[in-house]
Amino acid sequence: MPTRADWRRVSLGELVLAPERYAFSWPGEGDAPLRESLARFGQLRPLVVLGGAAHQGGPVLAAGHRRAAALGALGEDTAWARVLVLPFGEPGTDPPELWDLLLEDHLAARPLNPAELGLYVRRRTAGTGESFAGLPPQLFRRLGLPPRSGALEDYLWISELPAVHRDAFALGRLPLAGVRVLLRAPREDALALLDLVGASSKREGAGAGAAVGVNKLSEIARWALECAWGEGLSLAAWAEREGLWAFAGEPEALRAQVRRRRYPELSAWEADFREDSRGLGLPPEARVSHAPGFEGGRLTCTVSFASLPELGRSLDALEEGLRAGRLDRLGRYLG
Amino acid sequence: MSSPPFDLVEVDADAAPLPFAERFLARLPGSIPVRLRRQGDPAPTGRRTVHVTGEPGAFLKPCPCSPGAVRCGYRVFTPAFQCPFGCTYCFLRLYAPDAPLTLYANLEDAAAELRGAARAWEGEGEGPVRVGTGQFADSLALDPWTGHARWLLDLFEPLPGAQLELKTKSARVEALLVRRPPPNAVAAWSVNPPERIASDEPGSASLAERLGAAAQAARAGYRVGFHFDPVVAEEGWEAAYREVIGALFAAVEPSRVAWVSLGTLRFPPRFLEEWGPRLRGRRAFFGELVPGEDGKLRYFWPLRKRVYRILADALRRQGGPELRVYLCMESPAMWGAALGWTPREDQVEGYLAAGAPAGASDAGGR
Repeated sequence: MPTRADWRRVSLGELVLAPERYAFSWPGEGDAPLRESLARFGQLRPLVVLGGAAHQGGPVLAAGHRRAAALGALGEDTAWARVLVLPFGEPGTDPPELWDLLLEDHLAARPLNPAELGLYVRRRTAGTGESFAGLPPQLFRRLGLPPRSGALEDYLWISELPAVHRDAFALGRLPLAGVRVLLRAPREDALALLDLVGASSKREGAGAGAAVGVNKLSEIARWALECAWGEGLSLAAWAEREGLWAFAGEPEALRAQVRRRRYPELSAWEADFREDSRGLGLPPEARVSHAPGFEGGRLTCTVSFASLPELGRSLDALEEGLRAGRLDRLGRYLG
Repeated sequence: MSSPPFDLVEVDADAAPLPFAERFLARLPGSIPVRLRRQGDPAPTGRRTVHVTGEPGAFLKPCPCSPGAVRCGYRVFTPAFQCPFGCTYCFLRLYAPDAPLTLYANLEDAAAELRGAARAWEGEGEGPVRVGTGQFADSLALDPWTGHARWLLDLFEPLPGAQLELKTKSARVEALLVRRPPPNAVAAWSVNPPERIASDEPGSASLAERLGAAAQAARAGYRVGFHFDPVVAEEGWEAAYREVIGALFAAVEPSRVAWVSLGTLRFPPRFLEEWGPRLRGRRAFFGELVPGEDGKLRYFWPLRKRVYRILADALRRQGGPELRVYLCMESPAMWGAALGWTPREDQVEGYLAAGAPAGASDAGGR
């Protein structure tokens, strides 16, 4: 820990701001709620300031950039700060304890979202000179992660996305678990996929803000990437060729379109099966279904019933349909 | 002897005095640097490095197969791990991409383990159990330097409870030709159309070389096996595989063929996540493969069934109805749909062993 800390009011005008080095809150939300809170309740959390050897003539603000800005906007000249007696050195020279303290300062207000976690680790390692693999196990525990550097992979990837996509993961419109499939894809393909899914689509009115589930994102990503790679195209070029940008921001429709292209024969079989099973003349209580991918060459017939006589009537109707050859069209799906 | 497919040999200090290590090092050309590894030295990596070490665990294990698939009773015997060939579809690319060509020097331990198991199989009337060294390595690719083939043939010959399969994509049969073939040894080749071998099996022997080697082995008295695995159903596959089947039986008399296996292209979904970007433009790897019960991606059922039916039919037409054809890692339903019989758990082993000479069990099941 820094050797000494003073709690005192500091002049906001004298603070040197260093958000690129120390800030990891994301996204940069509007300050109106914060201003309102400060106006009503006053400053509840002190700023964190490095007050050792001054940098460019003043103490350096390490935590509380938004608080400082909001207080300034409310006409305050000073703010409460925890002033650490700590020099502001070159990147790579910060003591890890400073970053532990910045993390605690953030966690005192709210948990880290995925983008913030990635940004924190990136900025911490840049600030302290620690390697990802060399981060202490207790830090992983504090971050809620298993203690191995591989656990950071998803978060670090998100932290390097363009702001529009980083927002989507930070605000939960895109699921963290969906990152796995995109991680190993070339960056331009992954970015094109995120554009296409449209959680933060560039297209006007393309459904920006709609949340996408893990399975849906993973399926769209996997199928679209495999289609593009199979054709030897970039994902953007493939999507353009297939006219898929028309479905950007509409995950459900996009999934259906991409699946049809990834599995054309299977999709055709499924469509045929739907059609064929509708025209069987089965009693309404009976339903025929196939295994995923028609695997096994077997169909399942399910009969629901509320009484034994009802079951008997349904089975009789099924038998009659079978004898009359109305089920023959299912033969192509068998064996 | 051609130049070896490796650039460096690293030998663990405690493995160096073992007879296998001494023989292996004596066969190396002087141009290959040899390093002695001490405890704590960095682990060797990469398929251009040979690592001579000890195997502290078991050498003999059941073939992993796949959940829900018909098991064929195969056992995997592993005096070596990793393959010098860089086949696109090899599972080792996914599971052990950086592992060196690993040679286990404590072959006496391996031999003792095998002898014990083979005697138990014989005592239980279970044999002959098929045992192969080609699952985690190529059985013959490094043979001029390892001498594994001769060691294995000598080891298996007095063990009627076991049947050795040496499976390879090479044409290195020299060690097989200089000795009398044991009745319980089969030399086997993975086969694919020449274009597929050229595009996806770098460093391996051509189809003509493999079939030439198979013909030599058959003439020398060995029974031979063939593995159509993976069958890649890309445009024109049917004609291409029919040609391979034609070439196969032009090279080898059907009576000399112990068995033929069929397995279509399959891999875990992770394979495309890892390798997809590097396979860009290779349509063969992005066909309609859908997840099966075991999670692996395989061709859509009707296509897979058609592939198996066509190939099994072509094989039996040319190889005769007695030809032992089986499916690798497929469900009982696919066996029934493609081959016309659904074996019980223990029947495949008997069916395949039926072609074996003295000591083999009944065909069973058919």
